[in-house]
Amino acid sequence: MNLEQQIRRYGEEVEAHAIAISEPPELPAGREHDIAHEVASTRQVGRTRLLAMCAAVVVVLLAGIAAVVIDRRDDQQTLDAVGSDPSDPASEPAPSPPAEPDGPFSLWLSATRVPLGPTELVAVLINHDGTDATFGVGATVERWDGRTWVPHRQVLLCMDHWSCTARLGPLDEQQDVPAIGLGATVEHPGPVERFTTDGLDVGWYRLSQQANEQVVAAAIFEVASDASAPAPLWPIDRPAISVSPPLLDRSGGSVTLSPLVPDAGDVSDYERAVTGLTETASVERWDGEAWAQVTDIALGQAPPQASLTERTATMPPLEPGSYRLVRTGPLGPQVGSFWVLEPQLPSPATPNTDPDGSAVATTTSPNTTGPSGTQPPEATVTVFVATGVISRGMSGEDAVAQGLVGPAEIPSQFAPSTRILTLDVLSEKVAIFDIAPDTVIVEGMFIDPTPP
Amino acid sequence: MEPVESEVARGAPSRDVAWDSAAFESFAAEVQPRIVRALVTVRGADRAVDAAAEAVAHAWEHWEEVRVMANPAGYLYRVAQSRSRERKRPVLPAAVDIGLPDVEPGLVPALLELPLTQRTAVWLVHGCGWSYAETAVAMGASETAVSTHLARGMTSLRRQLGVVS
Repeated sequence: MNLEQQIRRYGEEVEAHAIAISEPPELPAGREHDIAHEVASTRQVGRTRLLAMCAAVVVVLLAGIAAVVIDRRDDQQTLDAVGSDPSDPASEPAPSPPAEPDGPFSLWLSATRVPLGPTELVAVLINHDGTDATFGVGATVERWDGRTWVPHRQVLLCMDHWSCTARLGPLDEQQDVPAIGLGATVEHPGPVERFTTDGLDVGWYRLSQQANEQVVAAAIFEVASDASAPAPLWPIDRPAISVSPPLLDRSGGSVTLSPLVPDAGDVSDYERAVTGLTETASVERWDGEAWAQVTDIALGQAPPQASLTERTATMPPLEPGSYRLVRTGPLGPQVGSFWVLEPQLPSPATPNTDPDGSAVATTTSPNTTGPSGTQPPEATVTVFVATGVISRGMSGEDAVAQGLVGPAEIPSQFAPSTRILTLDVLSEKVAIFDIAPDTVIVEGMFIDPTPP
Repeated sequence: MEPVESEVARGAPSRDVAWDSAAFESFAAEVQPRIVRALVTVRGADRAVDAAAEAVAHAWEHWEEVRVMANPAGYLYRVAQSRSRERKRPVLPAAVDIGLPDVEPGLVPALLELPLTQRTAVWLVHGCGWSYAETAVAMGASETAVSTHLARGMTSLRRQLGVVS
């Protein structure tokens, strides 16, 4: 049997196995309706509720009015007579949408569950496979109606140096899209793009940007009345800091700090904004209610080719979460936002939900057990990681020979699908950039050297 | 609120109760095993039946809509997914334990190692025999995306298992 046939055979048998292990206990005699029996006989969780529902249906059927109850062709008076229209999204919670399929790009959002009202979010383009594509700041917002995505709003996302927060507008609104190209590489996420969810009702939404090459990057988020407010973003009405890259993994890494000055006219405005600022920065983490200081870091001068107003910093290993950098000066503090993620940059947002439809965390502790605590620990997989700094240009053979690449076990849920499986794939290749310690080696980190 | 009887008296279209019952029973008998099978790699063998039953109950509640759908199984697959708790690692029986000694022992673990979208595409197309169109509806994706996920998933499986065919 080839692999496809083996999968098919397993599918055939596991279906029978699944049904066999879920055989229900004997049902009470005297059931009046075959449908209720048929449905309930394969259902254990929530069976009581189902029986009640089915019993109600039977009563309705016996009363001879079932046709009026669910016939979609009836007029509104009929609907009024029996309650709400099942097709009305407001009459029952809409099922949550499916996860976005893997694609070359996705959008990362600074929060995927936000409260009603004006909540400011940041979106960042993530490149998963090295596809070359150029996006604009134009985006669409679709609303999940329980079955499909329906166009809902459009928006021109704000880049951080524009010192604005994009507002969602109607679909028919004429918009002048700035001629700007946004991109991202596997190694470097795109720039931050800021918008507000103001005006959105409770529900699921999908933010999408389409590239010139027709590639789409999307993220799903939920507006919920009981959601907590995410970490506040940097102010747009006074000098602040742009942190690049805005997303780091928990091993830390180098970032560049650039001044953000609203209404800046020329370079002197930037120089004035940074004059007297401390050459250290406080690293603070959002604890859900307030900012808590984690550490102080020293800032370095930017490379010669960069602006004199820029600074660099090396972030230490940090726990995943929302962070800000704070520099102080004579004109007050200046802050910049950044986020620390699990080692693997995110796939398209997955609207994990529990049976009540409320969102649950998509990042979990590697050793989390199930709710009952009876499930076995998470499985791990072997990956290859950098055990020290692998400098850009170093050959794969040298990195291996110097012991800079070694095996490690990580929870399978965090294992990148593009991780290398053998060290052979590094031969005759060189590191495309500096690789920090503890970084999982994935395809694309080592490439064929450019011919002389 | 106008009495219901008057709606009937006015000649409002009435549903043939017997026909609906028979049609739904037939539909449920055909679609429920398909959904169970489709769900096992995302919910595990032990939970797939419950999740499928949730979906079939939803189908009964919305029978007027579901019965005219071109691909109700795909739609109900999504309903089942959204109404059941996701498992980070579904529980599946080993091939040998369900009487399949000639199936590669590493197949099931390798399948579970795949990213969710690849696993879903591989499973629905090859494990369940769904068409690309049906799988696309179930995944809320285009057929092109399904094709991509499937190809990546199969490549990864072959690499993991060290097989070429």
